[in-house]
Amino acid sequence: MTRYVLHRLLALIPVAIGVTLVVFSLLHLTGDPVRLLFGLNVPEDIVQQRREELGLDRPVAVQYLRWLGRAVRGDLGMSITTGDHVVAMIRPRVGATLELTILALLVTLAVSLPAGVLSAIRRNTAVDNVSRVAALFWVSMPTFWLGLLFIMVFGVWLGVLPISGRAGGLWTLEGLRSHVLPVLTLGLPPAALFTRFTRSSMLEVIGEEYIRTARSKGLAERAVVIRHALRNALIPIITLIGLRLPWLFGGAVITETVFAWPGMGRLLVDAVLKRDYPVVQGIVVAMALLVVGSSLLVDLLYAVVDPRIRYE
Amino acid sequence: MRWQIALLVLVGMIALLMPGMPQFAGAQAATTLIQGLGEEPDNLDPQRTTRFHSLVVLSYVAEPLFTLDKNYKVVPLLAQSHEWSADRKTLKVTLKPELFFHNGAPVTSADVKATFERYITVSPLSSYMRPRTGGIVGMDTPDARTIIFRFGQPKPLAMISDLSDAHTGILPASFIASTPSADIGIRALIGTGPYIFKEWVPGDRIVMERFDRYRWGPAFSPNRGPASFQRLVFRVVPEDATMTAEVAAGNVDLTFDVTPSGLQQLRANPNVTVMQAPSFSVQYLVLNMERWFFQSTKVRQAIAHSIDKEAIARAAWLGVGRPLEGLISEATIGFWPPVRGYAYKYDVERAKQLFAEAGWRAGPDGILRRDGERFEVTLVTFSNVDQWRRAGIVVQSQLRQVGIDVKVETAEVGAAYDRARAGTFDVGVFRNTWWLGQPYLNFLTHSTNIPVSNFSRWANPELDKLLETAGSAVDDDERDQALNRVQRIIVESAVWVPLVSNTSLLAAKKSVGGLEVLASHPWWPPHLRALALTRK
Repeated sequence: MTRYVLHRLLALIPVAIGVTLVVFSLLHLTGDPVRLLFGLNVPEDIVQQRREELGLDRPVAVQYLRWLGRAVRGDLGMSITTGDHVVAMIRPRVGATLELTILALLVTLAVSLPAGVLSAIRRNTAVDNVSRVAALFWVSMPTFWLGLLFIMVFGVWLGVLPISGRAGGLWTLEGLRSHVLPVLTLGLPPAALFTRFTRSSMLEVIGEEYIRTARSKGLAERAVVIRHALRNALIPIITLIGLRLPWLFGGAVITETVFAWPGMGRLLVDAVLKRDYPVVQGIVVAMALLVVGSSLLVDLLYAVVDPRIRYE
Repeated sequence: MRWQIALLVLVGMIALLMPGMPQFAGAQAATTLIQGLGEEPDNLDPQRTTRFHSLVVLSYVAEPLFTLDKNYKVVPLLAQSHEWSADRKTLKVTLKPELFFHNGAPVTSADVKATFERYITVSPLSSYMRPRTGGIVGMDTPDARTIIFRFGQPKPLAMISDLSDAHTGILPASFIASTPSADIGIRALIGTGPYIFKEWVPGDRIVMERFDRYRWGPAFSPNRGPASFQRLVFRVVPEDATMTAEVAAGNVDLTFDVTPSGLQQLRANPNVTVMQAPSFSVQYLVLNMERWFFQSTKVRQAIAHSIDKEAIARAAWLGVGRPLEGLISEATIGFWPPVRGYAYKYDVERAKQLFAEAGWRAGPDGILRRDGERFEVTLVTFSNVDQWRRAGIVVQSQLRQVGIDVKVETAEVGAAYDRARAGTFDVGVFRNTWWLGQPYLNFLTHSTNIPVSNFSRWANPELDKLLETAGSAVDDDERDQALNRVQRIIVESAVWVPLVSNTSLLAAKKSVGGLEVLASHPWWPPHLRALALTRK
C-alpha cells in the first residue's frame, strides 16, 4: 500500500511539469503583462525596465526553467500585479476552495444516493419518474445561471440568505449561512448525474444472485438494499467521484466568481485576466496537487469498500 | 429518537434561513459603511499601484500634499502653502501644523522627502518627476515643516499632475525604511487619511477604522474631519449581476461599480438612489494611418461623418454614455469646450459625397470600390466589457451603411492593445481613462509614442510641438492655448474619431446621507466619499 501511494505521489511530478509547461506557454502567447498592468500612460522605457526586473525579457524556455528551479524549492515567485509572494496569496484561499468543493460533494452524495437507490428499487413508478425529470432539470442548468437564480430567489426576493462573500467559518451561524447558496450551486447539478449513475448501478446489482440469496435468507429489505446492494453498487460511484473531482474544482471557478467567494478559483480568474503568470502557475500547481491527492484518496476508498481490492 | 433527530435538523434549517440578528445588524449598520468594489485592488501601495480601484481605496488612508477642487484648482491638503520660483524650477511647500500619521507620529518634511524619493524610484507613473526627464533633482528640508523641491527643468504641471495625486500619498519615512516592500499596501499601510487600514481578507473585504485625530480635510468638504462612519468595509463583488443584487437587497450601502444594465434595474428600486456624473473615460475610434485608404483626408472625414455617436450611446451604453466631441472628456482637466464646434457631425449624405470626391464608388454589393479594390477593413475592439464590444458592432453597422465592409475582431484588453501596437488592424475602437489632458493626449497622439500608445502611427510635427509646449511652458496661458490647439488638430485630422464618454455611476441605499454634497463635486473625490457621507 505504501509503495502504491509513493508511486502515485511520484506520478504527480510529470503531471505538474506537463500542466505548468502548457499553461506557461499558452499564457506567454497572449502578450505582455507589464503593459497591461501599467496601462498606456506609462512610457516604454519604464515598462521595459519592469520587464527586465521580472525577467520577462528572457526567452520563454529560460523563464520557465527559472520558475521550475525555484518552484521545486517551494518558492513560487512573486505576483506581477500585487508584488506579493505567490505562496502567501494562495495559502489563505486553499481552505475556502476546499471547503466549498468538499461540502458540494457531500451535497451531491446526500441528494443523489438516496434518490438513485429509491429510483432503482421503485423502478418505473412515480418516484422513479420524478427523479428522472428532476435529474434532467438539474443537469441542464448551467452553474452560472443556477447561482444567479438562487441569488435572486433566496437573497433578493425572500432575503433569507446572504448573497455573496464568505462571512466566516462553518462554526458561526453567519458563516454557515453564507455557505448555503454557493455549496448548493456547485453541488446540485452533478447530483443529477450521480442519481442516474446510482440508479443504473443499483439495478445491475439488484439482479445479482447474492441479492436473491440475501432475500431468501429472510433479511429485511432495508438490510438487503443498504448492506448488500448499495455497498457493491458504490464501486462505480466512487470511480465517478474520482472522475468528477477535477470538474468540481473547475466548477468552483465559476461559483466563486458569482458568489464573490474568496477561493483559488477567483484568484485564478483575476490572474488570467491580468496575465499574472506566477500566480496562474502557482494555482495550477496547487489545483493539480488537490486533484491528484483527492484521486488518490478515491483509489484508496476502493479498498475500504471492497476488501477484495488490494494495492501491491 | 428518530423524530428528535428530525426535529433537530428542522430547527437547524430554520436557524440557517433566519436573517442575521437584527439588533447586532442595526447597531453595526449605523456606524459602518459597506461599499461594494467591482474589482479587488492589486495592492494599496500608493507608489506601486497603477490600478484605479487601488487608488480609490488607498485614498482613504494616504493623502498627497494637495488636492483639486471642483474647478480643478489645486487646493492644500497636507500642505498649508506653496511658493514657486519665477523659473518654475523650485517649489517650496510648507506643511500644515498638527498633522499626524495613524501611528501617532507627526508628519514632517523628512516623511515627504522619503515618500517622493520612493515615488520617483518605484512608481511607474512618476515619469514627469524623474530626474532623467528634468524632474526632481533634489529636495531640501530646512525645517520640519518645509520642503523645497528642485527640478531639473521647469515643471509647471508638477502640482496638478503629481503633488495632487494619491500616488504621492505621504507615508512615514520610518515605515518606508522598516517595512518590506512586498508588505506595503498589502499587510500594512500607514498614512494621514481619514481612515486607518486595519485588515485585508484577500478576495473578500478590506476593513478600515476611523482616524479620530483627523481634522485637516480639504476646504471644499463641509466636514473637515473626523469621518462620520466609525468603520468602513470594502466588499469585493466582481460579478456585475451579483453586485446589482447586493445593492437591491440592501447588503451594500453604496457602490461606484454599477453597469449600465444594472443601473436600469436599480433605478426601478424605490430603496436605492442612483447618481451619474461625467467621467474621464473616453471611447474613440482610431484609424491605422499605414493603410493607403486612410491617407486621404476626405476619406477620414467621411468616416467621421458616418458615425452616429448618439446611437452608440443609446445602443452600446444603454443610455449612460454621452456623445464625445473631443478626444478628452468634459471631466478631464484641460478640456476645451469650443472643440465641439470642430467635431464632424453625423451626416451620411455628406459622408457619401466625400467618398465620391475621394474616388470611391459603390459596387453592385453596395460596398465602395476604388481602382478595383473593395473598401474592406478589420475593426479590433475589446471583448471583455459588453459596452465596448457593442460599440464596435454599432460602428460596424454604421460604416456598412456608407459602403465600408467591416469585419469586427474582438480580443481581451491586453491582446487588443498588442494588436494595436503591432499594427495588425485597420480600425480600432479603444478606451482610455486619464484625468489630466496634456499627458493623456501626449501618450495618445505624440509621434514619439508610435506605436506604444499612438496606435494611429500618424506623426504630425505641429502637433508634437504643441504637446510639448502644453507640458512645459512656464506661462499658464501659453500652455492652455497650446493644449486647445492640440484638441482642435486632433478632431480636424479625423485620424481619431471621438465616440462616447461614459458616465460615473453610483448606487446607494436611501439611508446613506451626504450624496448631494458628493454630487456637488464633478468627480466625487475620495475625500468627499470619506468625509461627507453619513447615515440618515
